[in-house]
Amino acid sequence: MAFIEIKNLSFLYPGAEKAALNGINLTVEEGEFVLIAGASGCGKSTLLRRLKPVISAYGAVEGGVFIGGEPVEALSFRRQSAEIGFVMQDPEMQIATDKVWHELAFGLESLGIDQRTMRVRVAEMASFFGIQELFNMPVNKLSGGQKQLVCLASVMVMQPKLLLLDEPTSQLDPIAAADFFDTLKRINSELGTTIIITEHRVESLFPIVDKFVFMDGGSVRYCGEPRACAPLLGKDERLKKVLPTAMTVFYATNGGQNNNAAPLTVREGREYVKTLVANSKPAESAYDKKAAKPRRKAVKQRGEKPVVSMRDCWYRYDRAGEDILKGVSLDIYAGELVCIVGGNGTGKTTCIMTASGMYKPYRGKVVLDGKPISKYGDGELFGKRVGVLMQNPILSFVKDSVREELIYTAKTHGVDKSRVDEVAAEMEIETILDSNPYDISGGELQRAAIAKLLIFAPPVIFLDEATKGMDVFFKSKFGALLRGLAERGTAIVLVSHDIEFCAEYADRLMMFFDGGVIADGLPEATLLGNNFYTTVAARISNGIVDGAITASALIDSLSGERI
Amino acid sequence: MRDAFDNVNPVVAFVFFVFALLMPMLLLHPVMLGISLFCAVVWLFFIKGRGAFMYLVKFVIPITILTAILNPVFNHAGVTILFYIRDNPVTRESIIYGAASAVMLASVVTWFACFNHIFTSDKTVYLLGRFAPGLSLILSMSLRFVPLFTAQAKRIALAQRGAGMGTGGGNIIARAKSGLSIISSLITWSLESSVTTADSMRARGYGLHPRRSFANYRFDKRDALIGSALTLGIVATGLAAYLKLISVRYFPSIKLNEASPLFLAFCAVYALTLLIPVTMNLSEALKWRSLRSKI
Repeated sequence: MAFIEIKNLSFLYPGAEKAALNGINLTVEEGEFVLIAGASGCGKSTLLRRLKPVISAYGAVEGGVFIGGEPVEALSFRRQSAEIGFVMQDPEMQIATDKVWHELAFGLESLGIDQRTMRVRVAEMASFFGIQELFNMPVNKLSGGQKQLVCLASVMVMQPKLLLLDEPTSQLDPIAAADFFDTLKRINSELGTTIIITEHRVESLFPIVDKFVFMDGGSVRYCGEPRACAPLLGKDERLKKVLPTAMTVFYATNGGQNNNAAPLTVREGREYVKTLVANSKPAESAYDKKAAKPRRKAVKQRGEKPVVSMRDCWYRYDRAGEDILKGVSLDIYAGELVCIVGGNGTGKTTCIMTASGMYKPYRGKVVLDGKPISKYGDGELFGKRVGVLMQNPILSFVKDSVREELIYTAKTHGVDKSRVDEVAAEMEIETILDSNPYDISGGELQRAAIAKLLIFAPPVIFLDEATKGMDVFFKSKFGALLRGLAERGTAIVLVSHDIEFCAEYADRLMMFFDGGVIADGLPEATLLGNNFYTTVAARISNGIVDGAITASALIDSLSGERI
Repeated sequence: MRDAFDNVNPVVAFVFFVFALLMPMLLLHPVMLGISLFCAVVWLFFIKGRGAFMYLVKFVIPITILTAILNPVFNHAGVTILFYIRDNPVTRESIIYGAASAVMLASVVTWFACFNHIFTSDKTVYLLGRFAPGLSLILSMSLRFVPLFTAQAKRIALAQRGAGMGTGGGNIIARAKSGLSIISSLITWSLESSVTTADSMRARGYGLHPRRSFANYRFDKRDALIGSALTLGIVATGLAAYLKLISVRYFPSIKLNEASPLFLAFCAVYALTLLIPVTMNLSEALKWRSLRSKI
């Protein structure tokens, strides 16, 4: 008998018409590492929470979940707490206490374990996670990635048999996420803990999981080895977006052969592309430049004046502190989508805060529409000429529904109410206008927050980490909306960790490092030379096919080769 | 620099502070007050270095002077009249009593400064955890939530400013409106996020009985040693007060106990007890010096 058996499980939220889960059947063996993917709202979180009854939602349940042969509801609270660990999305709010040591000890304190055992368990987990040096730190001094590791460790101290994780890296940057996945892999292989995780970032998880489950509309569409998910997902135009780049390229070019041997990693992808290129044509023709498609908008047309221009800007938070910006100069032109990428703490966010006039540089100047930005008053700048969206879109909402928020914004800026419906249509949020901002998904929230800025139609919009926590389906819609906005003349500056997204949609890409712009140009130009800080497609094609930084560009040039 | 007393088990440290803070108020004996103030000031110098000087000049000395002056002005008890201010007698007893209470206040305030430095939130959480685990957890959670709340308030204000709806522009009514809406959204946020926190706590077994607090501090031999020295000091003080070895009367006329050898011995015990932290600092400094000279 399998360790976990989910038998014909259906679930209906109170008051809902459509079932959140629809006859789910799933088995998980002991020690397995399972990935559940699917669009936001597909029921994966609901399913995960059914495995831990103390935190699952109320509603009508059919069928059942069995762990080790017992119905999970029959497990006592004590056993559930110790044996089934649960890590949630937001590291900030999961942490209950003020110090790392206290957070690690929390679960053991609840179980009332004796002092000596508590000490040993906390110590060994701190060492296993490599967070000993954080042990006495206050939690609010940690980075997001460190916080999430503490959350994971605080669950692992109870030595659970089953570890459930609900989109644990959606709030983390790619490096911290990779670190987190590495830790999960170690937990699985070194401690033998069974892991079930829901995630958007399948790219980095595909190579390390044993089983891949794809959910859509409350039911399981695929369940099996990650490598073999092709026949189902590869063909569906909508669903195939979830696949890793190597697999996407594979299915588009393999002509339906060897479907079960799809490449998962960059290395496997490179091998596949190499054989493809070698089999089809002489090697030289593979280095055709045609893959570098001309961009939608030629960057920096001659004679055009920038909307925003930053010259030698230096910024630090306090006098004794370190410089965050070290002489940044950049120009933003009307109607372009500029993406700023770069590692954590390199000053990207500070850069747009300075460019938008939120922060004042202590040296250098920012010019907006030919006038120094410091000459504008707050009232003339924000809400008229510039719109800034912070990293967390929920911060933009002070009213109880999206509609109220937009009306309130229109009123504040003296704009006619009819504008609300216009921007709602533009950002495609008509269906969620009457929802509470806390009840809608991250992707919808981001669009609603942009709609709020569009009320007063600023010529420049600054967005910080706008794609964070968005699933792939939302992301492509979001990208298209941003492009539309840019084509209608708005300059958009987007700070992001999401290189894939930037490569796909940006007119221009800037790379930020150590408080300055180190590369600035077409996405192809900025990303192609890089080995590490670039897209997966570029890493797969580097040196084999030239100029492909997105999966679609790579597919185009590969299919071109084969003719 | 880390103070030597920092590593003492919080229960012992707490008893020490209670003793140091209560005795000046209970005894009010001029000699005891002097000893107490002296010990507190010396320790403060060990803790804060030069900062202690600023603290004394800016804070302790002004309130001391103020108390010393105000008491004889308002308190006219006592038999030895020195002179009159607007027909009100100023007595020698009230001047001396004023000086004594000024020193008492100064020593209590200085002890508090030391307490604030030594007694971190971790120690309070530990101490409460011994006796009231639930309360200790609430304290720890508030310590987590308060900075989170202020940071979120700042972020919301910044986000609103970015949409031209901050408190920085427009007339007073618009600003007030914007400020109120920020507060209301802050409350919504804290309610929403507390749901997540509650889930995460519940997922880790919060609510099971009995709850036991994790002890971040141990009770070692040195703690036992300091604890017994402290107990000795406390018992000696109790005995001295009970046997009337120390007694003081300020009104109507001043009367002190005799300076018997036993009294002097007690003074030494009292001083040594209050000097425990200073002694520890000194011996630690000596140890380090000898360690360094060996290298």
